[in-house]
Amino acid sequence: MSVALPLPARPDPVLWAGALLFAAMTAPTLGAAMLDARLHLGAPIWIKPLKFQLSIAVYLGTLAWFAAMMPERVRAARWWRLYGLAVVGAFLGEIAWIGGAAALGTASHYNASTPLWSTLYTLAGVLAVFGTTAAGVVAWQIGGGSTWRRSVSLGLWATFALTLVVAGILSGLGGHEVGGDGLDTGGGPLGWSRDGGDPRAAHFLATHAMHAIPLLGLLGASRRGVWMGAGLYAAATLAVLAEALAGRPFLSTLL
Amino acid sequence: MLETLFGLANGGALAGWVALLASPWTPRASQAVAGLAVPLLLSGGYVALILAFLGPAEGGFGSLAEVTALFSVPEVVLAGWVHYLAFDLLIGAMIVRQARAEGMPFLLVLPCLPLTFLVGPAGWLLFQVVRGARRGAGA
Repeated sequence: MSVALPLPARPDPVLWAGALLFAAMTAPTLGAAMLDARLHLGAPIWIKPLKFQLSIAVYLGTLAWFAAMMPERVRAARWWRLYGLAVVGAFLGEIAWIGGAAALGTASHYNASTPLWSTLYTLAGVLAVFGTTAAGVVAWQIGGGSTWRRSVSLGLWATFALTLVVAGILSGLGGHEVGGDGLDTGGGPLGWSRDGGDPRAAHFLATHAMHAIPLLGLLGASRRGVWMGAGLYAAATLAVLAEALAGRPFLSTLL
Repeated sequence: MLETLFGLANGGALAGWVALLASPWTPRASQAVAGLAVPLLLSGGYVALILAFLGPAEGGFGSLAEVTALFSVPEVVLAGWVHYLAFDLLIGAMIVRQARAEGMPFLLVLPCLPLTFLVGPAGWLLFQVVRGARRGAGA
């Protein structure tokens, strides 16, 4: 039995080029990670730029395929091309800030050590919010139709809304850890803290809604199943956020 | 570690130059190796070195003294060396391409290549002189 993915033939060219660019960046960054012995908050200093490059590549790559499901008149529209370029540009600014801070051996997020770093952090926040709007715009333009299309737009709406909520709260905390030593030595593939709450776990779930919820549509869930799955996923993400804000490590409330 | 990387970079560049020497017989493969593959690897390594070591290094680009301070850091010197290797090889590949397009005999290109390898700008300068001389001679 052959399973044909209900995806369009070609990804959106601008977003796809952006995804490839960010994927390509991981090669020299991996090289730097192998050469550079410096630590930041107890973790190898290039881990953070690497994680962001990979995440942005996955985000833009997924958006590129979903964006191709938008109506032809939108995909061909001038505003869409310019908007896609601006989104890729915003993430380039973001990674220049994160990579630049790593190169200089200092913090990017939460860095208020000088007026310049403080301003850059604010600016990076604006760029990140702008980059996140792309999920909302694509969701809006895909709209409804088949259950599969609805699962994609719901997933993208969930990524947009949940990421704004979670990342907004995260950025207002003054550090990525609630309680604990504030270091980045949690271990595991993504380094989440094990001695305190880490809202980055909720950020991860929030942003991956665009994969989890369309997966339900792909697996043939009914329309009702997709909506219920989306609701459960959002609830789980908010529960993981609440757990972190209570100062408890990821899943420690359950396990 | 640094010496190993230095050796690897030199070996890669040398392979590129050997490919250019073989270019009369293998023009496409030579360009693929010397004009693309080896420079890609060297440039990737260069960026990795710069990311890792330029930030914390003393010095800068504002004066000769600052640049000298920068080049007293072995890791930065290695990055600078890889920069030379990558760009000299790219110029070598460009010379070979241009000479071929203009029908210049490879024997005339031959002295330009080792010169570009060893003292980059001198080799490129010689190539321009040879081109100019040929044009003057109505070739």
